[in-house]
Formats: sequence, C-alpha cells, structure tokens
Amino acid sequence: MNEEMTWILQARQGNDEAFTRLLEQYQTPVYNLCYRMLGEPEQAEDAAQESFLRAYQNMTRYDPQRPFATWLLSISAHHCIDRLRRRRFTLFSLDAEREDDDRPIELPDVHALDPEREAVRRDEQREVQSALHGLEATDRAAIILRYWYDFSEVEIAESLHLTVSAVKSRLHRARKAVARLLLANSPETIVERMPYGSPAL
Amino acid sequence: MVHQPFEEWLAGDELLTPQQERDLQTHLRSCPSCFALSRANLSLRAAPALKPAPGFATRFQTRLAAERALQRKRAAFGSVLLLGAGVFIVLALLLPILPYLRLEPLQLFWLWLGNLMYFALALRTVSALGAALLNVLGQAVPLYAWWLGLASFSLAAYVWKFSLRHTHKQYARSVA
Repeated sequence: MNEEMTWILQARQGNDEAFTRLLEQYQTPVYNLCYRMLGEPEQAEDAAQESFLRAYQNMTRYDPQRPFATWLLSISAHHCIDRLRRRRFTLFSLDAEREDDDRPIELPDVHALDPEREAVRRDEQREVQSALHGLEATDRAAIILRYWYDFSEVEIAESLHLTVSAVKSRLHRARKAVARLLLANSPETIVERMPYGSPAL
Repeated sequence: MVHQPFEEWLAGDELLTPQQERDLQTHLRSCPSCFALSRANLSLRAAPALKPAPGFATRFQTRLAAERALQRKRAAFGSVLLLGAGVFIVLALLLPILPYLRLEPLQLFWLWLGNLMYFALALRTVSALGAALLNVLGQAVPLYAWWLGLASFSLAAYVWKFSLRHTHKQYARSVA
C-alpha cells in the first residue's frame, strides 16, 4: 500500500492530519482547475476550499478502486460548473460591467533571463485564460482536464458524467473555439508541435 | 481543404513518425485553420499550473472549524426546535383535558359519552352532505373534466417526485 492510500484510508476514518496531507498534495491541481474554470483568484480560492470541504464530508463515499485525483478533480469540476451556471443566472453580472477586470496584473519578472520573452509568455497566458473564458462551462472543464491533467477521453467522460462520444465532440468544438479566440487576439507566431506533458499533476 | 488526418494528429496524444511530422509541418504552412489549432494546442499545453496563495491548508482548517461550529449550532437549534415543538404538542393535547380532571369519574363518563354521540352524529351529517355534493357535482361536471383533473393531479405528483429525485441525483453525482 502506498503512502497516499494510507492517508486516504486514515482520512476516511476521520483522521484530520491525514486529510491535511492529501490537501497539501492536491492543493495546486485543485486550485489550478478552479482558477482556469472561474478566472478569478478569490473565486478560485473559495471554490478550491469548498471542493476540499465536500471531499472531506464525502470521504466515505470515495471508491478506493478509482484514482483519488480523478475523484477529487471531478468534485471540483462539478462545483465550478455549478458556480458558472449560477453566475449565468445572476440578474446583474459584475463581469459584464468591468471590461478590464480587477485580476492582478502580472508584470514581467525583471530578474528573468529574458524579460521580453517573459512578458510575451505572460501575455500568452492571459490570452489562454481569456480564450477559456469564452467556452461553455462543461466544454471548459473538458479542455482543462485534458490539457492540464492529461485525462483521457474516458476519464473525462467518467468525471463529468458524459458519454465518450460527447466528450470527443465537446473537445473538438472547444479546441476550435480556443484556436479561433487565440487567433483573433494575436495572429502571428510560428509554432512547432511539441511532445505533450502535463503541467498540473 | 482536407484537414484529416492532421486535425486528428493534433488532437491525439500519439507521437508522430518523422514522416508524419514533416507532412504535418507542410500542411500547417498552408492551412490557417490547422495552424490555429496547433497553436491553441501548444498554448494550452504550455500554460502552467497556478498555485494558491501560501497558507491554503491553514485557511482550510479555519473554514473546516467554522463549518463544524455551524453544524453544531444547527444541530443545537434543531434540537431546541424539536423540543419546543414537542412541548407545544404535549401542552396542546393536555390543555383541553385539564378542566375535566376536576370532575367525578361518573360525570366524566357521561360527558365523554355525550361527546362521542355528538361526534358520531357530526360524522354522519358530513358524510350525507358529501354524498349529496358528489351527486350534484357528478351530474354538473362532465366525465372528461374528471379525467382531466385526475390526470393533472397525477402529472403534478409525478413532476414533484421527478424533481426531488433529480435534485438528489445531481448532488449524489457531484460527489460520486
């Protein structure tokens, strides 16, 4: 039995320290998922905390046959989708009122080897986040699980309670939308296909 | 322009052979749509995982403690409410009986017998009235209206049951 499974089993029996270990291990993946879904640090923090709270309260329902990360991220994704849907039904959208939102502006790191390149990288990250923001909630979750967490189509289908063909079609549609949005923001840049890697897990 | 198999290669995880890689690069130079898709792929892959602000675990512990305190408060409030309701029901049941406790057993027996007779008479009157009303309504309201009313009632009950089940399922799925 590996260390993580020991923590999980202890946490299922109500051991807070074991759950804290799990939290420390998964705080970045969960926070990142929430941030990519919601686009605002405060909301991401709140959603990540709520995801862990739900996981804590439902530890006994976790099936140890499934990977813990899949279960946890699934809770988080569902919570964020619910939040986005609720936000859509809000009568007065604060998002609509502020064109330049109050997200912290990431200034180029002056100590970086190439500040100009660093600034371009940050711009590109902002564009990616903005492109994600243009996607429908479930499409956004599918794209995030695919690109940041390397989930297979089957895993995404299980996590979001969709069929595999629905996931394929959602990913296809979302990729095209992201491509279109990124192209609209900055049409230049030559790219080369890179070997894939998962930055989040 | 034909986008397959290039779109599939861009979407997939498989490593391409050198020949496929060359074919893809040639296609990307002439196809803006696949080029944009390739760029999107690359940008998404290159995006880093963002970390929460330091002290996330401590903030969670604080939140968990607050949640527990809230649950304790809710449980205490629920208990008080339940106790209050219980006391109210017991008092409501006892109060009408209290004056009779001073009566002699025989007086009490005749009083209760009188009440019982009165209740039986009232029941008989109500049932006679109900039968008369049904008789009148049966003739006044057409058969299809009865069917329609019953069907609407069944539909409303079904919708209610379905919405309850749906809400429960949605929550269960979100933590499954």
